[in-house]
Amino acid sequence: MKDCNFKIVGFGGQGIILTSYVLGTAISIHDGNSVSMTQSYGPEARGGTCSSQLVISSSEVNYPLVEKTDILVVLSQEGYDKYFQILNTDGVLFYDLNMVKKEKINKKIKAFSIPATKIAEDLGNKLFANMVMLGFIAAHTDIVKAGSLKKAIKETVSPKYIDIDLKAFDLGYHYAENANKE
Amino acid sequence: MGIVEKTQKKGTSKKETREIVIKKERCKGCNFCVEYCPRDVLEVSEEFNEKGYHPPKIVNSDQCLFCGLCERICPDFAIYIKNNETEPEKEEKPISETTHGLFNIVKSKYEGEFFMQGDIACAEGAIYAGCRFFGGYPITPATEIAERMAKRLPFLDGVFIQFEDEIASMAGILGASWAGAKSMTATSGPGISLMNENIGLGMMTETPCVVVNVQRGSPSTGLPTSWGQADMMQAKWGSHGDYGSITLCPKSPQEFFDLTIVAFNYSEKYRLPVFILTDAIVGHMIEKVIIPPPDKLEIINRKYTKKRPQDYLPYEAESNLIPDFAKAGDGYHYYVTGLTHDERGYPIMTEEVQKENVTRLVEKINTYSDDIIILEERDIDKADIVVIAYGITSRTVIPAIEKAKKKGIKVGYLRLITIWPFPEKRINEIARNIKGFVVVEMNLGQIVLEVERCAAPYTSTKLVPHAGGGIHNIDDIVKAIEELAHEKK
Repeated sequence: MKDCNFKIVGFGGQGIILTSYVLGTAISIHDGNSVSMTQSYGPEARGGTCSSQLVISSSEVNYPLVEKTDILVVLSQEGYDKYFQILNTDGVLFYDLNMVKKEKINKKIKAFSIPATKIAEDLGNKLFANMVMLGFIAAHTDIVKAGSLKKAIKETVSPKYIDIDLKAFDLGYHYAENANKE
Repeated sequence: MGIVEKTQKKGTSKKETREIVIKKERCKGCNFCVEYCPRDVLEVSEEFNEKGYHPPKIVNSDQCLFCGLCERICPDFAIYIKNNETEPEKEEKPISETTHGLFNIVKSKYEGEFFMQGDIACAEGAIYAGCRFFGGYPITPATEIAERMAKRLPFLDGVFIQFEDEIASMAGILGASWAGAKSMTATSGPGISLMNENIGLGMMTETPCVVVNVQRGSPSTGLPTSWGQADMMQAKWGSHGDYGSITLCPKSPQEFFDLTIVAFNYSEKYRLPVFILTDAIVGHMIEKVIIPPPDKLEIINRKYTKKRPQDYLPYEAESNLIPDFAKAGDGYHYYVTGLTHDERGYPIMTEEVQKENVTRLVEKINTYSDDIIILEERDIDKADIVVIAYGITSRTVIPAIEKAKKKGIKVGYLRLITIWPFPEKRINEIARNIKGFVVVEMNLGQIVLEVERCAAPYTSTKLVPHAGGGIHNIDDIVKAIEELAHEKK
């Protein structure tokens, strides 16, 4: 695995911080790499821009903040507008097709998209969109093992949501695989 | 001990028995207890005590409600209610091992590897060290420490109190410490400013406790959700007067855990409030934290006197300069005051006592400074320039040092883990052999003054400041290193 920076942006209530917490747990506890996670959010419980960043490294993490990122995940249009400049030229963008307008995405950016919110709604609640996205990311990158992520989900989320979150995760993962085949 | 007359009664639902204890030899025969008892449990006895008074006796023990009025009314502490709680079988309270949300994961046992926030690691460190009393008032970015303690302490027979403000919080933890508990509070700059009066009281009365300051942008309300390192001098000089102080500065959640334990050890060993100064980045950062099994790390507990109560003086320090504690309620006489006091603890306001009292407060830290100071050094022997940093900035300087090294400059790294007492000796030693110090800190020049003081005759010092709310630009640090390296002596 190459050392990389990861940033996820959305609005409060989408589970942005939970997503990066799960990812961080998987990478640091189960994969054994170093992760430093920081987050920022407004005073609103829901609605304000919310972001979280991980510095991932196979050795010790020194500089803990992300100025330029290799992976940017956006779950809201506002998040994309605000942060797309910090993506490295060879960086990868993941975005939610339902929340971010495809035609507004800069053509030069290498981007993968998934209708995460739609998939989650079909599953019962749009709150699962973050887990769908996590599965999608796991399928496209080598920063984390899918198995570790599943373990981390089981350890982190409320017991009554474990099954459905894992299902959402799988849907995201398979969406990526099917898209690759086509 | 005194003659004790007992009456026992079964408590209500709990497994406990209570009794009225009468210390006959203390009684001066005022008979207040007899007069005021609403149930006529007591009566004046025929018997004489050592002083020739008639102490009360219990006549209607079955009428007693254990209201405690006699205890409160007695001017001589000669009568009191004693609770003999027989420990009920401790049941592990049913907490689900993993509950929802990243900050709500409450397990009954903590051991192993966790992806944990700095503030939470601090709370876990405190619990590991045996802290069972937390008094505080929540403030960003230290709130999570209070939150965690509030969740954890009730399951450990500890006490969490959210006080009305920081002034009361500090007073509360001093009181808890005197009652025998390891206690702590956590706040940010504005809270420390309020606590400083009572921190001085803690210093003067030599009360062990831990004060955590998760620094935010300052002065005043400053940047509530952002960070800074501008309370460094406040930790040393915050309260009025001369006193030795200890301050530790962690750089990561893991170190926040470890240093909280060290802080408790220092506070118990040297008898004073110990500071942990960190910042909102470390406090809110989430990283891997390893919590070892319970007896793996060294825990220092309070040193109680072995003397008999009649021989014991609360502030009598042996040659080690640190007086032994006595357990409250074990019959030792105590007088604790913020006034200048002699070894009995009594206020004596003379020049001689002032000199003795205050000198010892300063000297007890100076004497042991070699044991207290913890530093991390890299490549100092071969260095021309040494970068000094602490806390979160000690991490941001690493990429800068690498960069400067690539440019052919010999750079060493000195991280201050203990800020106070200041490592004067070591910095003075290094100063003789290098071209200069670069001090990187997130304020407009605080610790740099100390470094200059120690380095002045031998070498020059350069500051890379930052007002807070952001993080140093790596190139600024590299530039400062280069400038100093190419400076002509």
